[in-house]
Amino acid sequence: MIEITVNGSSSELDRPMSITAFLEMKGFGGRSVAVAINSVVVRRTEFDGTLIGEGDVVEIVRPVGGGL
Amino acid sequence: MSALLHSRTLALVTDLDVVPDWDDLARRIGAAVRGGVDLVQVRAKTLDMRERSQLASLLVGVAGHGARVVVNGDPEAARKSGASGVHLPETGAGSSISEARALLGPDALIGKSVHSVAAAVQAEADGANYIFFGTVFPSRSHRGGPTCGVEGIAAGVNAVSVPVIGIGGITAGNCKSVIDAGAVGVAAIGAIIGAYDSYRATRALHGAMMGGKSHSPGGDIGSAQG
Repeated sequence: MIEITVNGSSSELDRPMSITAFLEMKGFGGRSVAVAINSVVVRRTEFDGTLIGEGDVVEIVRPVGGGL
Repeated sequence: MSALLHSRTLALVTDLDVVPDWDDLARRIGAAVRGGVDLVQVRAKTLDMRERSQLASLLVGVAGHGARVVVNGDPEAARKSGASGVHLPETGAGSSISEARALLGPDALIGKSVHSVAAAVQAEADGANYIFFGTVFPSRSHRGGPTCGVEGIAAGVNAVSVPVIGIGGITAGNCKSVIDAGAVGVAAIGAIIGAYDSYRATRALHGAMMGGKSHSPGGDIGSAQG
């Protein structure tokens, strides 16, 4: 298990995973969200290739309400 | 015109505090469009809707096919003036993208000013076609206010898929750094309409934004900030 922080709360993952896989696991798949890893906002085109690993601080910024 | 912006956009925001005379403003806008401005935001908060619509109509005519015109915070004035769309503030009255879209239709150009990654994500989800992100550098119009720097621009650009335009304290000397951070363009106020020669000031900004040499030999616009 690896420990990470997600939006200020401690969380655990079985293994390092890509941002894309992480968002799908969290139910954000296909939604327009922004993700920062250790305070750096990651470009969406890099979600597939960016791994979340031990000790990372993850911030998911999502829109409020219905949107489009 | 489609709601897409050019791959490099030089935007101009009007300010009646800088140029209060409409005819003078129109001359400066015309010169700026000839110089390379391709998006004009009519910001005239002190006018009523009828006056704002009249000013926007004047500037739509001046801009012609050279630039698209959006009206700040007033979809109805945008509709009446024949503008391409509307530019909405981050919060407060007249900030609803859905209401503007309902009035202006799916082809209208709708932009939004934001000051954070969260607001940028929200604007995109709500259907904004582009985003003004700032305040990048210290500016005359937001004197003493917080700034995000080029690091803030980079965060905003990474957070959304719609075009991001940097605003605040933009000059010919710093605009390339905003482009290098990922913005599709920059927006200026005083650096263009506050300049002695709006055409030359625009050419200098445009040249700097595109990474080339200034087309405006001489003339110091470096100290003029939008």
